[in-house]
Amino acid sequence: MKNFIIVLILLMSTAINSQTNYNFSEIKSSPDLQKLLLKIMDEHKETRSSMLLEFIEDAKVVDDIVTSSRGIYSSKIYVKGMHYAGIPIAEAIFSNNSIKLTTDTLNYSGKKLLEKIESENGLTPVYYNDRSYDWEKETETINLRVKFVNGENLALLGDKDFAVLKIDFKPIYKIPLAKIHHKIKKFKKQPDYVLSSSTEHSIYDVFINGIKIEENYTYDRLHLNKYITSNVTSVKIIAKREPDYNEKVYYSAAILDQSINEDVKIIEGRFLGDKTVVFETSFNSELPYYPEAWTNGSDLRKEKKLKEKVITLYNKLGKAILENDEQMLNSMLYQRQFEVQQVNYDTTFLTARILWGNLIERSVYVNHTVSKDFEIDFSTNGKLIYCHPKDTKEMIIFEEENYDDPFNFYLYEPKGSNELKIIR
Amino acid sequence: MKKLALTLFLTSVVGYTQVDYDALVKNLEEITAKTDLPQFFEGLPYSGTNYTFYDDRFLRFYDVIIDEAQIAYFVDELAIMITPFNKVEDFNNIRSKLIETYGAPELNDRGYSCDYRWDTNERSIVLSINKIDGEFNTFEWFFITLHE
Repeated sequence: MKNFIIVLILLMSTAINSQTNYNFSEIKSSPDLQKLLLKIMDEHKETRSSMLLEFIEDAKVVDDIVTSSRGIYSSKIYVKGMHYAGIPIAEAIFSNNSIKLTTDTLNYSGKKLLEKIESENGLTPVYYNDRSYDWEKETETINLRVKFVNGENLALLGDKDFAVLKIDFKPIYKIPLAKIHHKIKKFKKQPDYVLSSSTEHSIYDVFINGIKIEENYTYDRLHLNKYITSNVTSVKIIAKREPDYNEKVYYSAAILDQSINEDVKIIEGRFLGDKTVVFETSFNSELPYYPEAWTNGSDLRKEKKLKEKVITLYNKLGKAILENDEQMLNSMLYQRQFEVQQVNYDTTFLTARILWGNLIERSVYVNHTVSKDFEIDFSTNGKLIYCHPKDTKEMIIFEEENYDDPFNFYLYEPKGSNELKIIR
Repeated sequence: MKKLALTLFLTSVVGYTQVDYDALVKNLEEITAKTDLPQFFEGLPYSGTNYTFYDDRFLRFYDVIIDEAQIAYFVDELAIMITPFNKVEDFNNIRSKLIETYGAPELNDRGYSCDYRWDTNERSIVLSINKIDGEFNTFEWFFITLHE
């Protein structure tokens, strides 16, 4: 008897799980989507043509199925058996990378779908105007909109209220550079050191641990973590008044830990004139993680073929981007990206995915140019270099019609290696 | 074997973790000047930098479903702005509960609108409505200022 009950339970669970028809909750990617659409079309040959929306670009017939050159373009489906984890779906619109599902208007389908999607993805704020919810996930963008038929509000949804669910599937990246966020640790204390300058009509250069800061930053606030490699960090500022300005100009600054909004070091202010004024200090730059960065690098001041090595590196980068050489790009950029994200405690998936997406997009560029005539700045006892081109706008420029995309990086050479590496 | 069968059965019926919606409901009348707002609203997503909520599934004021709520500082005092749904029964319930809790209000009835006001050591409440033919039509303003 006991065994009979066990078998019965197993059979019941199999029956429930068999999902005999078309279960959209199982779709997790664009290929899954196309597979399901082809399955539906294959099982409904007699009504296939009515499923296709009139507006289909560059469509052609392959094996008796109408597709566009990019795959299934767009199809509107009304067949029995469509559901999202058991919640009946009345209409499904397939595009290449997205699906739009409308529930039926019975049995609290709208409410059930909202609750199901929330159980899968967590709660998110509702947009007041159209009662819609958005989730931005690593490989999906989800939007669910509640439509009232006989319900009063979200707390009192009616049995006829329905929901429209749209899921856009993003590419699934396997390359580690695009998935760095999975490796980033969070800590109990996460100091975020910022140099905040108070000044107007002055121009100034900042040096952190002797490294001249080349990045652009806004509102006179410079985030310092990515230049920190130990618990003591030096700061030097060389400032002067703007050349065409004749009034009195004042410069002062503070180093603060933005994570707790506290000053770590105040840099006493002074008036500036035409001659440069130098401000120097150091501060306690304790961090839960110190990147290796350039600390284990060779002294490049002794490297006779340094210019050639720089050109070789940038050419290698240019080739890798134009050829979309994923492994090479990963190898050249991983350490830099990991260290910068980790010192900034950046666990969001967007950072790495946007970086990777931008790199892949650049394979459409037709050409790249690398500077051949440039000056080299050395810092941290020659371990770190930054190059200033004299013959081009930047060290490497990707070219497209009417558009240039320039880049420059801090470089170092790991001890034991014969090649430069991008580090910041 | 028995455990496996039971697990399979339960997973097939309830394949995911349900959100406990009842546990997330927030009773706005409980907020005081000393309330730890992050703790009070824990579990609820909100819009913007202030505490602004539009999801009426989670907002109540003395058991009345609330459309929208915003908690923010106005001139150094914490304030709650409440937008109920424009239902006469909701207005009646809110007004009754406030009278029951704080006593008779200060009244300013202009015919086309009416303001109810309560002042205590802990809070000041202004409930303002629009009227048509002398009857409730819509909420105009419902504002609670919390005193330290």
